[in-house]
Amino acid sequence: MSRSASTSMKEAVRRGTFVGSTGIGPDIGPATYLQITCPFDDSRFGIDLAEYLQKVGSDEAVVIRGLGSLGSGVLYDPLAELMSRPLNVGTIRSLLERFREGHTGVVFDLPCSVTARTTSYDARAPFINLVQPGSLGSTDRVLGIPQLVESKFATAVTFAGGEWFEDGVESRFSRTLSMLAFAYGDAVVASVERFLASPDVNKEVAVEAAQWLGEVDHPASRAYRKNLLEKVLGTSSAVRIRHGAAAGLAAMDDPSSLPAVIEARDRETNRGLQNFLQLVVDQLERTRACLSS
Amino acid sequence: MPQFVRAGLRHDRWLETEGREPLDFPADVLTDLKTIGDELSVFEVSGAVTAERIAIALAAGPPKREPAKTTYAVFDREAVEHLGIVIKKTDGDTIDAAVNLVHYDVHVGTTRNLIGLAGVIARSTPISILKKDVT
Repeated sequence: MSRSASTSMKEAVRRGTFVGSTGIGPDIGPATYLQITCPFDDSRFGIDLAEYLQKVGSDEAVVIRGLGSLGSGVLYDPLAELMSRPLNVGTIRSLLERFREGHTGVVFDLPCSVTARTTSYDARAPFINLVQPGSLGSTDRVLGIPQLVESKFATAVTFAGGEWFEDGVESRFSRTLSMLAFAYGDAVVASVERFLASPDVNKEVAVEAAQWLGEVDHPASRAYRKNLLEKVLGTSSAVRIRHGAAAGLAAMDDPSSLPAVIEARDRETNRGLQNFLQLVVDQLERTRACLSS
Repeated sequence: MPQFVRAGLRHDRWLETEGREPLDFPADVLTDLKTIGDELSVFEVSGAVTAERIAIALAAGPPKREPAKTTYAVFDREAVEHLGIVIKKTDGDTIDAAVNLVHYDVHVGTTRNLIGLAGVIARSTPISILKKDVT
């Protein structure tokens, strides 16, 4: 982020208002910027932050967006991520330091929870909740989590319509789904399930969603995602979506999916997909043999 | 007979080309044939550089963050020439130096030629490689 953009955001933070694009992306809609200057105890970061939020009179959770380049860690606002690049705010520890120095802004626009990696770009790093689910805003209390997630998912799908998907290049859409999954868990997978079952689905986006189901590193929803992929493979009327499901199962590489994949292969009438399913069967059989040896 | 490889395809986009004329292909296949300056990249198969090696060179290098599943198509150079497409020898920029030596730019020129090329690729039956095999 440029120095002027950072300065502009700091001014927005001081005013306590959202002023739209500040060099990090278009307006993300209604949101409040607050500057946190009171110190936090490192080990009680989440609790202190939640208490602080109560003290300033907001019962909504937060999304933290960075100001400037602070280190190698990254926090995401799933929706802002659709419209702007990831914002580098460093590790929790460095973020804390910035809080102490009064340089970091907080955006109140994502109810329920905030999730962040505890270290930098290490994909194996655990995620922690800075604010626990349950601290919903008044509107969201009425809507409830499923509707809220559905709304966020629908927004993600809308923006995904303008994306170009490529194997091996993580799309902004799948990155957004991952962040939503870390914040909302199975509710996001349920949204994907409804999306894949809808008759007028954008197939390009649906394939990306199906592949994401298999690729995302989210152990808590793994069983749900695997069962969903097997179901989609066996029931979807769209050959491309069945392919996406097969690709997702290949990414999960779980030999317990073999019966479902073999059945799908034997039933498949599209020659190209049948060949692909054979590749998946071969891979899963190799994995099973490897695990049993 | 010399053969070209078009790599970095997304397999699902080509599934619904079976039994169809190129003009009736799903439009998403053209996403895999994105031209820049009316040109796109192909590679020529040689004794030392197999089609699979070419596909892996593209699937394992930038902008991929890590090796990924991929799909490629092998088709006759003559089929491209038959469309009236001009072929230019240029250097590639993959992670495999030997693959870079067999790189060509094909000047597709028109959407008619691009659709014709899509037909050539679809008839060749694109081949997939799963992520675990891209090493």
